[in-house]
Amino acid sequence: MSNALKVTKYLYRDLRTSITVFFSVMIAIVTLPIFIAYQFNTNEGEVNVSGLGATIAVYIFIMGLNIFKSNFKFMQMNNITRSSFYFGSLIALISLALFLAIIDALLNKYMKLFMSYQGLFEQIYPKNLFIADVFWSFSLFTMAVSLGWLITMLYYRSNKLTKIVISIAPVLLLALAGSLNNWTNGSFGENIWNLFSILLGLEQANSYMAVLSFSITALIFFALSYLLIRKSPLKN
Amino acid sequence: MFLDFNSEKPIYLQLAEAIEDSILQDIFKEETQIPSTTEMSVSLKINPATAGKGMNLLVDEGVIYKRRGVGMFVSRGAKKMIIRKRKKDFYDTYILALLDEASKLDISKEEVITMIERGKKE
Amino acid sequence: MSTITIEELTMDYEKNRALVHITLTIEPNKIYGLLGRNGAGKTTLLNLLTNRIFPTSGEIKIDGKNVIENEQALSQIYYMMEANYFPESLKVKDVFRWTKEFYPLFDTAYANELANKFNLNIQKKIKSLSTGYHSIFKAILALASNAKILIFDEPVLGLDAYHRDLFYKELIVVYSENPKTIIISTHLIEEIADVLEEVIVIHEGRIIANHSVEELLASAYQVSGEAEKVDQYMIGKQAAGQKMMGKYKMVTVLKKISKENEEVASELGLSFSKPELQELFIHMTNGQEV
Repeated sequence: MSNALKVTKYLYRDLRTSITVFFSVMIAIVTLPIFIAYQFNTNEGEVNVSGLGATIAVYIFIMGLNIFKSNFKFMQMNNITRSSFYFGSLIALISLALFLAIIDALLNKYMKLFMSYQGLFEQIYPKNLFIADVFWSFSLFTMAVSLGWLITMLYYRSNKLTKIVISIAPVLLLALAGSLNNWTNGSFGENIWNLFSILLGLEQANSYMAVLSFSITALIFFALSYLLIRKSPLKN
Repeated sequence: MFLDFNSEKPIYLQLAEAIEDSILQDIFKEETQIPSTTEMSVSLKINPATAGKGMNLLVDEGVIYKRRGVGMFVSRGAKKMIIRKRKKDFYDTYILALLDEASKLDISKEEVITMIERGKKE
Repeated sequence: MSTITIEELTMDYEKNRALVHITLTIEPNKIYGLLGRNGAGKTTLLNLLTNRIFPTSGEIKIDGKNVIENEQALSQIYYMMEANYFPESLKVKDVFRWTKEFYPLFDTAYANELANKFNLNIQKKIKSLSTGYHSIFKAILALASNAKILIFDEPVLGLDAYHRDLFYKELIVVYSENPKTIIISTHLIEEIADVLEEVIVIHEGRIIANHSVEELLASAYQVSGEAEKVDQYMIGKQAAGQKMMGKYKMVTVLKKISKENEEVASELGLSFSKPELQELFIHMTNGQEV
């Protein structure tokens, strides 16, 4: 087995507990309403639950944030090259995003049998297509994890000053966008919304447009991460 | 005047001497196996190359010999060999120095012998 | 064979220069001591050897191939760092298992045997290990790794006398069984002097000596006797250090003993002796170069 795959194997082992806990909690939260519904003999149609998609996206983003530092150090202890570590992590993260996307799409498909259940995909694109849902969630989760991974590497490579800049940059950008919006009498916000609408294929309800946008963004984030890790020194 | 260059003798020499001492004291008997270089270096915490150098010195002198795949053994007649060598060393380092010093102090040969006899009694 | 060649290696940190134009060859299958005072650049050099960090300029090669991002070269080295970078939540035995994954020649049975000898409980989590056991844990990983090049940075930090003794002995066993290059950086020179074959002395980022222990010890001498006579002998010579006890004086000279000096000393009634490695090291890193 190549060292990159060994890294993947280690990361799976490292993530196992976290994923198990996450799903136990999530499944409990999803099934609790059903349990309550039956307990109180209410009409099951009244139980309305939205899917886990958004939660999983946040979860995998956080996983991206957490997967770098301690594992990079451990792999350095084993004289694993940065590129092996990078590609090993990449395989782990992408396969995980796919796994979570399939789980999420399965939940979206089968939870309907028990209650009124609408996944994130169905809420945005008013249709119920299993394969399209998998693709869409997969690309969304991949983008989320690539962003988390990139941020944690940016932090790792930065000195104190750059860290502060990175931390306040999103707030500044939001504030800037807000004032820009006011200054242009709302047309700035409208244009941004239109842009998003096109990128996510909202008007034509074309989820594959979003898949393309998410994938390109993820690709850019992954490429930036590679540039950051290539010359990354071991440090505390 | 005695120049003490070797107040701290090189370790490999010290090791060779220690093995010789053990042979003289019958701790290592002739035609029996002695500890390997590794065992020596581990127990004395010295570099194996240093230990090897000490052992090789004794191999070259014929005091010990190597049995392929088994280890190091004390040669037949090793004890005699060591005694002969040590006697020569004794003469070189002690007797010659003694006589040298005696002549500086104007001590006669007879006086030296008397002194030796007195030392032996005490 | 695993020859390490270092060419014109320089390492600058933000504010200071850690290593200055180091050129050095580390031959295979010898035990090297890397000696230097705190902040001399020892750890920086070892970190560069294993590509844990990147040099400002210069090159490090193993068998002619640059170590940077070189899986084949790096897999030949096991480097025990002084700092702790292992995942704190892992148990000792888990780390053994994963080390076996990344170093397929890792000898798990021997690692367990060593854990037993050192009284290290392999069920313990890394975070619960004391300083001494942290060192022991990392030293065991290196000893059992079966790598062609073993590097130890302060391997006996926090170990008691019994465990230090055990470590040196196991190190010799491992070395004797399979020839390998061993590089040890340590402050406890006296204890390890006889284990070393070669010594590299680093001072303020520069290599000031790189010899076999024997050669190094032969490159200096101590002359002692009546203070006045010693001073007389030292005219025109440079002392690296001196000790006074009443009228008795001992001076260390970083030169080989020559025949004429021998005669001069003999006339003055002085005696020569060899310094110990540790003493010599102290004199060498006291501002003077050999």
